[in-house]
Amino acid sequence: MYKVKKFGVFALALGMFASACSSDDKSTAVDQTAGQTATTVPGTTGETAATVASVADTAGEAATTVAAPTGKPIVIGMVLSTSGPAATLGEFQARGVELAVNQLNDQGGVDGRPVELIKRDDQSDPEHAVAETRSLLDEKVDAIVGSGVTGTCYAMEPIVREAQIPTYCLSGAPQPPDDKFMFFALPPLSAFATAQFPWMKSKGYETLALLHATDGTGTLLGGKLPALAEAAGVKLVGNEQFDLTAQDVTVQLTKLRDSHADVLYIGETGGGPAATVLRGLRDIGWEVPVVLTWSNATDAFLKTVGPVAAKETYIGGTDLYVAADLSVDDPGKQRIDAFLSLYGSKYDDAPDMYSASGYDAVNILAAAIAATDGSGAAVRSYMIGDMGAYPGVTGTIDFTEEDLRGISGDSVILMQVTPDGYKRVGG
Amino acid sequence: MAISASVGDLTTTTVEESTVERSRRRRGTNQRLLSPRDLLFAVPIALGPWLLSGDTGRYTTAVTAGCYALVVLSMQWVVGFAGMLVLGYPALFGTGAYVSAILTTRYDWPFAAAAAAAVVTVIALAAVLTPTLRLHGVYLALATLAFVFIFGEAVLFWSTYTGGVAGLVGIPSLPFTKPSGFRRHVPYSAVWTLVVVVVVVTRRFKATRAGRSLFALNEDEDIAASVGIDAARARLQIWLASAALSGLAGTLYAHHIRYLSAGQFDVATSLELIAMLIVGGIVSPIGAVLGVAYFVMVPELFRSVGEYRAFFFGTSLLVIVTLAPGGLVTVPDRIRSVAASIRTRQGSRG
Repeated sequence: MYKVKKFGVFALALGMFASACSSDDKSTAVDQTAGQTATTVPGTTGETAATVASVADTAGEAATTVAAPTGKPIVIGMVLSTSGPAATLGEFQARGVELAVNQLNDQGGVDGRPVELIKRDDQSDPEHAVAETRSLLDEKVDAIVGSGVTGTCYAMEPIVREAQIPTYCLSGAPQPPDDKFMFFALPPLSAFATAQFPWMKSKGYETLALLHATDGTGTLLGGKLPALAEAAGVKLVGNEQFDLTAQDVTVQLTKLRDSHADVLYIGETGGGPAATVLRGLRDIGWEVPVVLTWSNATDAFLKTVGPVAAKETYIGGTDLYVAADLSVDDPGKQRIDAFLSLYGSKYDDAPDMYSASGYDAVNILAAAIAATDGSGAAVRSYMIGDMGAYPGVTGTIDFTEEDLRGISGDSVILMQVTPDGYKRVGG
Repeated sequence: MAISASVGDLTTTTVEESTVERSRRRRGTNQRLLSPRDLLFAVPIALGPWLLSGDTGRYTTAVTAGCYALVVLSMQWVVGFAGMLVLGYPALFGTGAYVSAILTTRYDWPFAAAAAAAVVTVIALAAVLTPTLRLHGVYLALATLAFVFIFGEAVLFWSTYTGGVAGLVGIPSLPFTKPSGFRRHVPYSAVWTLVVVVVVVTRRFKATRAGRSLFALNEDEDIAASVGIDAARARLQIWLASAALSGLAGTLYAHHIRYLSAGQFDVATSLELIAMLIVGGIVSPIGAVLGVAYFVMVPELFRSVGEYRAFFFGTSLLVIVTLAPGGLVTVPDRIRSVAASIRTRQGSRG
């Protein structure tokens, strides 16, 4: 029986481990594929200059009409990763979705029709995304917002295509080939990865060194960036890899320093590994302009890594992060300020482009459903036709038959990390 | 080899073996097809389309669970019966899934041909990996876990075919399936019919000479060899058969979920699969299915506790493996034996 006991202890340890994995740690590829983590915009929370009226203007409604909506509800399903590894992202996306739904209902609905939201959690797992999406179809939803990262969106795509349910994926993932009913938020990830090229040209920098992690995003960047650099006329003079768990990357950095690159690009998913690389740069005394991935545009990054960052540290972003610097004549400033104000009235921290994408998605879908008979085909054709260019918080969104992303890389800017937050330097 | 030696001690084995022997003596045949207790499991499976099809989400999850049940059953042959702690099943399952998905999406193969090719590929892969099976215990576990790492790397490396980190999209659904109407029952019926067939075959196999040889090997290899059991051959056969079933499960999974990424076949999946087997009942085919059902259904029950879900689910596993080390399938026997011992104690006091 002793052996049975030993076996029991082993089984127990396995069981405990697996339980943690099954509930929270599965589908690591999902979040890594998208290569995004939740980001916040420091320095913008306090800006409440925008009035309630301007918030209402953004949605195209009058703030004074607050009669409770009475028409047939517009039912929107939400499938986001509010648990599991992608939850850091899903939580912020869900905030944007809920803010938009509440705002629309507070304003009397869309053409008098209330917006109903059915919330589902895909647990950052493609299998659950498939099940939750099918379940939403039973609920007769008019449209779906979600999911938030590449893998879960791709798993949902064939289902919504066959059911003809307009769905708004909040990931910057590339549009799959057969896609018909899944729309994609955010500028393409490649636009964030190439935001530094025009700025490099303007500064007279000609060569780039790449240090990328061996995880999903790092591998993706390691594969794509050389070709993108070549296309932009930038010469890639070094390409090294590091493991996400590495505590010291000075060997790779020394090799890259010997390549005499003008700029160093660090490709990883954000957080600790970037800090390791920046510390390594300081240790070997290589003062080179550093460009980090978009996922580092977080509050935590500025507070913890910012102080030790190289003098010139840059990150790809959007106007949302530099709203204070936008000209008052900029048509985007008013809607961004209005969104910041709305967000600030509900949450203590600052919004990011992920919550902004959820906000835009609900507003676009609800408007399209209200403007049509609500059938999937009609909503889709409205979104790619009559809707025209929609002034969203994430940028100007203009879908076409071939392009269901509708938001181009032009809205991506390059930001410098400064002690006062982000400063636009290019794009 | 604590694992292999201890497996034979588990109450399930003793209970089920004695049942087999009794029924063989009584009827002069192999184990009967269905006992009354089996109906407890068979009836809900048969009623699945009526019980679940009102909620398409749960119905979908039930099909996914069926795919996992097939993998766990295939693991049972190797881990439970032959006592080889192989943790690399996501690599076999994943290879089946990817080969079938790639052939149907990139080369427009029909499902049947792609599935057959996938199963053959997985058998070939298993044959190549056979030398690893010479290892024992934790060494075997570690070596086979390496399959999973290598598989993940291979998926990223051959991204032209596999879709790399972004995953493989555009996979057709199982043949004859339609999202609505009668044909929406095709995936559930196909997968769960196969599960039931495998459960029945597995139980019969346990009573065969080959099945008993494996248990004997698991108990003591030297004694088994002394009565003429060819250990290497027996292990190779069960390993290849198990790989074939895993590969088949992978093809069904790929055309059910219709999206594949390396993260669906990672180390976490490996540990989850072995935990399903252990929690259900390491040598009981019904237990294997129960283990999968437990992992699929119970976390949903704990959903109301929100962030504490993992804690409660983990605790429930801890209770099961502590109080019923033979798995969920032995719980009724455990309760009976505890009740009997209480009665005996009361009797001796009285």
